[in-house]
Amino acid sequence: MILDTDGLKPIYIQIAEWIESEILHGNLQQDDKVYSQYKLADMYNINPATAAKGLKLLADEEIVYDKRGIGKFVSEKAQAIIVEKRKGQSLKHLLEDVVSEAKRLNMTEEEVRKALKELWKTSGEDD
Amino acid sequence: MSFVQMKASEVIGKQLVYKCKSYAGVFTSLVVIQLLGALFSLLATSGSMRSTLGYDVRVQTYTVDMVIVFTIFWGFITALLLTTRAYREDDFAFVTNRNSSNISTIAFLTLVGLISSVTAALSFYLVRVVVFLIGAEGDAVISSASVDASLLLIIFYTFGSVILFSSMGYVAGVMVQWSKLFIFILPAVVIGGLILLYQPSDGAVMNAFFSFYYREANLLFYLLKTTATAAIFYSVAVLLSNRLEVKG
Amino acid sequence: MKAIHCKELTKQYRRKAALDGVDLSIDDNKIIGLIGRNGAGKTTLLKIISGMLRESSGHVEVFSKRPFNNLFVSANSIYIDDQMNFPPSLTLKELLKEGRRFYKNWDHDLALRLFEHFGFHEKESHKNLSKGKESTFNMIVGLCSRCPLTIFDEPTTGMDAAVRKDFHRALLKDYIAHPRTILLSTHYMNEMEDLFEEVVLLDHGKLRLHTTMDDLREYAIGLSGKVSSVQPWLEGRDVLDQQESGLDDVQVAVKHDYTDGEIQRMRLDGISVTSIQPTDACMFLTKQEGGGLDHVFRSNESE
Repeated sequence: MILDTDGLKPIYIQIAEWIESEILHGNLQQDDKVYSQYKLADMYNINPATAAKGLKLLADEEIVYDKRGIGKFVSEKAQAIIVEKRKGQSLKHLLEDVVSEAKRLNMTEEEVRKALKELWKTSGEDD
Repeated sequence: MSFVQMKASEVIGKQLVYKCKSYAGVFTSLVVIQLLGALFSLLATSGSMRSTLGYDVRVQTYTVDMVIVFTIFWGFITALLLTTRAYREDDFAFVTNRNSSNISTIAFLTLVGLISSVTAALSFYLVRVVVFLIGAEGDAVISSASVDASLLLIIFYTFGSVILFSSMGYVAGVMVQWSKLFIFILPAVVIGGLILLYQPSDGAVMNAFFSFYYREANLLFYLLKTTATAAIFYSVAVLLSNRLEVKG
Repeated sequence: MKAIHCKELTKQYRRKAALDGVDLSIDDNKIIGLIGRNGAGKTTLLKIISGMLRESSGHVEVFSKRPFNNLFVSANSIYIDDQMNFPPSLTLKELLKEGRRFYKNWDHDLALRLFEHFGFHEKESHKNLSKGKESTFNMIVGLCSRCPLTIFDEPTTGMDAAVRKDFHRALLKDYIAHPRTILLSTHYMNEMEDLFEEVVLLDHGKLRLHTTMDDLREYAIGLSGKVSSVQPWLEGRDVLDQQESGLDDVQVAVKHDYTDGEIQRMRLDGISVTSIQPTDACMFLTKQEGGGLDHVFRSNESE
């Protein structure tokens, strides 16, 4: 991963998301030890405190659990939590774009709903 | 991270070694100035001819006083130089405080003062050898006017003077570092003082001042007087420089 | 433990206050970036902390001791800038050996390996080095001394981009292996920001901001769009910078205390929301009074 230092997304969130991807892709299995803050700092050339903040984020979301003095490990529900989270996030961003564009085009909410329904139906038929 | 404790004596010791290694210029200037002094000694001969009872006796006196005077002057200038910014900042590249920096420099000056006294005395032999080699006419008498005595005496008398004048150079240098105004004040005070001291009754005060140090017959007392005076000058310098800033 | 503690620290030169009532507390074992415009007082602050300069008033403590003339502080800290004065008669290798004699935590192996890596020669003299090489050598001394407080004042002066990158990496690796307080002033904040844990921003001798790097990244956001849609969002907010462009477009840097919901609504209003780089945030925070460079040229044109 190359860190996106220009984006709106803080680096510690990018670190957290990178570990999430590692879990999703199966590079980190359940109960595997997650990279330490120092290892992450060394890998990405960032301050260890920033890396620690990313790890804490994962711990708060129960994607990893803490074994005192040993490190952080992938939790049982990690995969499920990440999938659930990403679903919510990416869909929200897409819908935001839709609403924003619709407003610019002076569409009413009703028109957008109608367009969405049409789309839903056609894509349903494809399946 | 574990903290480091360092005693002042330890730092001063390390600084003294550091200075002996890095102030190479001090030693080269000593060699140059003493060779120059020896050369002057050879040139500044005083010859006299006497004719008694039909014999012609030509006496040529060579003296190493010039070497000693040059060495004392060198001590003054060296001490002055060591107070300048570049030399002080050398210390602050590594562990130091103002006290340790001062004390190690003073120790260094005392050490080179001793070395210079020994080499000054040894130049006595150098002059004698040269005179012998160039084949002086007649018998050569080599003497040192102020101390026509043994090698050891020359060493100690030179040492006392070098220490005294180094301390003067050092305190003058520190004063100048304190305020550049002293570049003008110090010479004015010294020259003015000399004129004033010469005024009453044909320089009696001045004579008293010099005889305090240089008419002292007892070597031990002489050394005591010079080192005590040097200690006073150095103390003033240390006190002044304790408030000096570095890299300002 | 606090590595550095300053209270109402002031340094007065004849006419001007280089530091003016700085209150600053720095935890140990962090890498801190010291940022500020030229003449903001960075060097003065660093030299007071390392005991070279004497404070005019206020308090300063380094490891709970007043640094001026303090041997403990000197033994446990090192100050590296681009005007290091080393004795000219010693070679570079000899200078490293002196470093080992004076600093008890000194890592001589690392020093020699870095010496090799950056292509120095044993017999070289410090005063004959180019500016960039000189900075590189000083950096080696600063890094290998392993002082609990390591201060770098503009350490990358003259270094080329590759060496700067190496330096950043070396600094981070050595910090990870041997955590210590590292205080570093730089004008190249965008290159070093990932290394910093906290940032101290000085402006005209005063402390303008002391915050974590993560917070600084989110300190301000940029809003751009039509004046009519951006303007309502600026009501009662701390606007750092405002540039008008085109007929009715505006770009604004504003202190970020909006909620996620508000940001979302802005986007729906057609406002583009961007992050403000820490470098730019610092620049806006220390903006000169009186309208900047354009203003200078404008008054010229009007004559």
